Amino acid sequence: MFESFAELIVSFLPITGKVAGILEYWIYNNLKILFILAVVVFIIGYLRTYFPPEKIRDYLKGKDSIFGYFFASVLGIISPFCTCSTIPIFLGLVSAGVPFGIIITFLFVSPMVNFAAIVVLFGTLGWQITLAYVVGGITVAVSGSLILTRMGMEKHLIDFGLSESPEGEEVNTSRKERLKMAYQEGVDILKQVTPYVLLGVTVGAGIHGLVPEEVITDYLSGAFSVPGAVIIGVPVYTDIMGVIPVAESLISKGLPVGTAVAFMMSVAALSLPQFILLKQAMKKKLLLYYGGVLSLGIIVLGLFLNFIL
Amino acid sequence: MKITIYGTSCCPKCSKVVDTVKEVVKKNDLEAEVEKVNDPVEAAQKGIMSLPALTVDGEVKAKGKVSTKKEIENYLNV
Repeated sequence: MFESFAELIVSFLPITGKVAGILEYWIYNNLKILFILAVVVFIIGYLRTYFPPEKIRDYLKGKDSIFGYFFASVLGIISPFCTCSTIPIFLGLVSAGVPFGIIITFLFVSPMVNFAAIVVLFGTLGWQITLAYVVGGITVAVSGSLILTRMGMEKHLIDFGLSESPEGEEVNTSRKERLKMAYQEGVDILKQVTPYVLLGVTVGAGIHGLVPEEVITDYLSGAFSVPGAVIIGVPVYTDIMGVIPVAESLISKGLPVGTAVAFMMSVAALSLPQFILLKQAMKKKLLLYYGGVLSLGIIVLGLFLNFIL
Repeated sequence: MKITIYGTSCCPKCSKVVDTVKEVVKKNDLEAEVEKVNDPVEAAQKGIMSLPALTVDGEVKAKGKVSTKKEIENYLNV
């Protein structure tokens, strides 16, 4: 549907050849991604009203089992990574006495894997890569947090001197209110993310139209491409929604999937703003190990995916 | 009556709640103290994990959302 619409628009313009192709790709991908995003942020916003972090925290209290790690991952996937959300959730988990490994799992997953990205990835790159991104991200997070726990990193969380907090009070919310909250949040997120999508699609369209396939298959598919992609991803800061179109375009030109996933995760999770936010919760040493373990985990994941796919 | 809004200093949504509360208080000529708390640690101590949140005399009325004028009037029973 979006494809024929893009075709139609381009056919009215006095351009042909390469430029027309790039423009068509640009219109099509922007429409597709923004449409999926608009639907998803609304749905997730609505569902989230049924899973407030307080509820998940009360469930996680004192659980040091595999389920604990699983629910911490879910909490990380559904909550946006920002000061208004991540830090209060982190503090709430600490004050409820949730085990360190589970808290760190949440802090690993939250910037790396996000629900809207899962759906957009599914719509653009198919289920295999989506599965690799979700399962891979959670695996990196859980193993990373087990390593940090084993290293005795717990004492390097910042101590806020929190005492046991009260159970979360239920606030009654009607369906109409939930829909309104979802709408409000959806609009906010769209406003925030759209510029990144436009930028990402522009870069993706440029790669699609101008970069010859050989450049990618010759230079970006060796064993070093994965660590290389992670390193390049560090200074690049954009929303994960801005990386997906670039990854899509690179994959269609022959970039190995593991390399693309590693690049996406590095851009999303290993950037300065992320670390500035996490500094509110972690002392320097933990922050350093967190970054190290995460980089290593992403590299291993990328190599593994390149090996099996 | 004491109305407290929990948020962070860099969260525009939280300031919006403060403005709306002040508006409601003024419009209804209420005797109320409106306070903004920018420290998420204090919010955590109240068991709040989603910001912005609003309490009236210590009772949590809303969290993780920007309440409308009408909702705030409901919380304040006016």
